[in-house]
Amino acid sequence: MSNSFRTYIFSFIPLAYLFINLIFNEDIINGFSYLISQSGNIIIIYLLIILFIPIFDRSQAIINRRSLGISTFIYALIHFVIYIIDNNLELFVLSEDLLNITYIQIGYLALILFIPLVLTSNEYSKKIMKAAWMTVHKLIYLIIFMSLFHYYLVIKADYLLLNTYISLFLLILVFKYIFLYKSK
Amino acid sequence: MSKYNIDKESDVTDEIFFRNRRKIIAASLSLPMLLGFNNTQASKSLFFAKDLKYSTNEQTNTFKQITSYNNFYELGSGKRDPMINAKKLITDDWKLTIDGEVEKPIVFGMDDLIKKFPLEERIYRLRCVEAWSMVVPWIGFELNQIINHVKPKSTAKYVAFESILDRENLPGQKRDVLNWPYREGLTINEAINPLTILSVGLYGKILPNQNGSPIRLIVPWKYGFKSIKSIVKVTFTKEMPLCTWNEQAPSEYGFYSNVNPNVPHPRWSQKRERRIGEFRKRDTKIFNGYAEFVHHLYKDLDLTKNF
Repeated sequence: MSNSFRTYIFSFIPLAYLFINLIFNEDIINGFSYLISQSGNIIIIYLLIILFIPIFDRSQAIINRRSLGISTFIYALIHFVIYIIDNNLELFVLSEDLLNITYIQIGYLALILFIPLVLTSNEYSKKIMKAAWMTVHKLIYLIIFMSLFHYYLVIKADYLLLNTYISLFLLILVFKYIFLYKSK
Repeated sequence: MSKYNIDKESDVTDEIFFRNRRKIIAASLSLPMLLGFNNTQASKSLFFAKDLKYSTNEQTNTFKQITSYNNFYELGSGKRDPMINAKKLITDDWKLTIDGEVEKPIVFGMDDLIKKFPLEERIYRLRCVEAWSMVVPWIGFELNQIINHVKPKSTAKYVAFESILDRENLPGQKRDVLNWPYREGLTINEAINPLTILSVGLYGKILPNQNGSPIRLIVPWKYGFKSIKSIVKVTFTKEMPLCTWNEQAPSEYGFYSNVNPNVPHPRWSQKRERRIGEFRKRDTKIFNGYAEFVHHLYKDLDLTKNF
């Protein structure tokens, strides 16, 4: 099994778990909010792993970075589709949200910024884009920042989990600086 | 354990029975029903009268829904935490102190309270500030009964409520997520409104811990966080009292916090709500649909400023 295929398989296990839980776990009372919040958590964790891979697994023997990136985008799409269904598929409501609600706007923007990364996640693009490819793929930092901000804007009082994510993000940035750039 | 003044004959009012109660019973107050009840907290039924004036005839949420999806930060900030940590709320020998600008301050034990004030069932909508809602069959009595008992002085303009502080046992109070203890407040006119009740039970039985045992406030036309749980003290005051969420984020949670679809939360809309158990969201009504009973309280207030 190639590490790309394996990465896909493993990355979708949490998704299967969410839906199995949704169906069989009677303690889940608000299915929409469960799916939205949990898929959101998975997205942030995956984004952090993607950032961390070059530090702990440079040859990508364990996790294929590109596959995990595409999986994360699929989770983001699912997160978005659940939000649409949660709002009765009503275009009026969705456009009202898009015009007025900051965390929704940031969510859209992060999702849109993700698209060029997915479209260029292949050898061919890397070859023809050369240096520009690196620049485009630096968008991942902005996407993580926006995801964290998006999450920040829906928290009422308990910032513990967000602070954990932010700490991990900063720690990874420090690691990257020390191990990757300084060693060059 | 026979908590409160409980009839030994009537053990458990089953929820399925409860849901069909209007068809089954007309006159009797509570009937014995010994169907298997999937509830870990052994609790017994209360005697109560049925209210028809203020109760909604909408479909009530299930006992499972009402007791598994809660905001009760003292027991954790996740929706399932209060159910999981319910046992960590210790309610033995609970005392409710009533003081401040009153002629007759008093300390009630729970048994005295239940004996003194006849209980009735109120089926109310509950609208959370997070844009979800439920319909809950509370058991309780009007707050104005206590108010009449303690005789407020003319200087009493507000009523302040304080919840339990138990940093040792309550997992949520080990961190200062909120400024503990939880506090809430009403104007005296809001407090004497007949919709305002103190609840000691739901679905005919004493309140499960995660729902704010042993006694909590219910103000159905306000966002759920105003309905403070596990109350230890009620103080009549001259000044507007401190309220926890208002203190936490004054621009987001006002003193009044009336349900109002026209005033959005600064970070999200309040126009619609998810009724727990329903697939489609529904429109939120002003004062949570209780305008006829409460709109007169706010006729001189600009609700966009006094949110």
